[in-house]
Amino acid sequence: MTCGERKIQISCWLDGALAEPERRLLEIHLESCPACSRFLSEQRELAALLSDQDSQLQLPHDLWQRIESRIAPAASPMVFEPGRAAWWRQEWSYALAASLLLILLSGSLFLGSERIDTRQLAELDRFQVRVDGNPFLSEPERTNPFFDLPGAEANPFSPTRSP
Amino acid sequence: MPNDLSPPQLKAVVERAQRGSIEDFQQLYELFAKPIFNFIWRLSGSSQEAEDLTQDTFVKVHSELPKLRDPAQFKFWLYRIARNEVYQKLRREQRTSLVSIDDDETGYYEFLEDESPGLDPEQTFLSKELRSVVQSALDAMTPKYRDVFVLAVFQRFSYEDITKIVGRSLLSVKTDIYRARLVMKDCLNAYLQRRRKK
Repeated sequence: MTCGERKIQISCWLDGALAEPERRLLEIHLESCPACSRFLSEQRELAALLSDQDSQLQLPHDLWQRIESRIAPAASPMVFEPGRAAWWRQEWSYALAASLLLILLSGSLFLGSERIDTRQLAELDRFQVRVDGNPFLSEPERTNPFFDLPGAEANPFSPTRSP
Repeated sequence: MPNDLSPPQLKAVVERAQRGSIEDFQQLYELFAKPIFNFIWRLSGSSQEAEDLTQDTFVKVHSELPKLRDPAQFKFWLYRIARNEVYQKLRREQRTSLVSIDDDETGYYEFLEDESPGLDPEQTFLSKELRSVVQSALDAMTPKYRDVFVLAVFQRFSYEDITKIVGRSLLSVKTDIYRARLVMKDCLNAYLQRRRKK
């Protein structure tokens, strides 16, 4: 092994990346090689200088707020991102459910109004039969379709009160 | 290096952040922001760029996190993104190897706590001078040497972990760190000689 290769081993040793058997062989070499020994002492001095170089480092205090303000728009309902696909699908399911509910409600209102019309028509039919078959009814009674409704009970000419 | 969480705990935090938990993503930020800021600063040589690139890195990590297949590899993946952000920006600015810190020395010191009150003015001067010389030496290195040197010496990563971040062989990492040490020694020689005289 050349001194150049030994110096690479010294560099690894300083970083704790040299296996024990290799380290023992390196120490034997260092006893007989002034150049490699000098390199080791120089690099040790350098390592001591560089240690704790960044221990005083402080982060800008508002860095997280700045990052958060940039990632927050990703959660906006109008932004589609592949990573947000699950959320997007969930929103669509809500919209679909709301639409179906609206359709059902409007359908029931329509059917309800149709039922009212049918009932009114039946009443009119019954009225017409009673009017047509009763020769004692006056003209106003013939033309009043609500004569048997509660409001018409006071009518002395009501067919229900007729003898 | 952040060591507040065990690897399984860190993996669990990453998994929750992948599912969209902003609290867990903030925890990842709190664990890694300082070393990442430091790493980027050493690579870029500029405190302002380090601020911007640390932001860019975490924003990118947030958007790409759901795609990370193995949450146990988060740390290496994060450093890889940070490193890519730095070199992409340097390439954009056509500054592939040399980054001057001449205009930014004041910014550098703004991010450091006050010197220890026990230090005399001469020690304070040497300390500031050393920081400046170290950064100049890093700037003088090619990116290939600089990133592995910063990861090994300042960030204390093992060589195996460095291979995962830089995507080079173990032999290449060992050799490049050794060569970076030679550059650093050459740059610091004058400083060391002044120091020995005092």
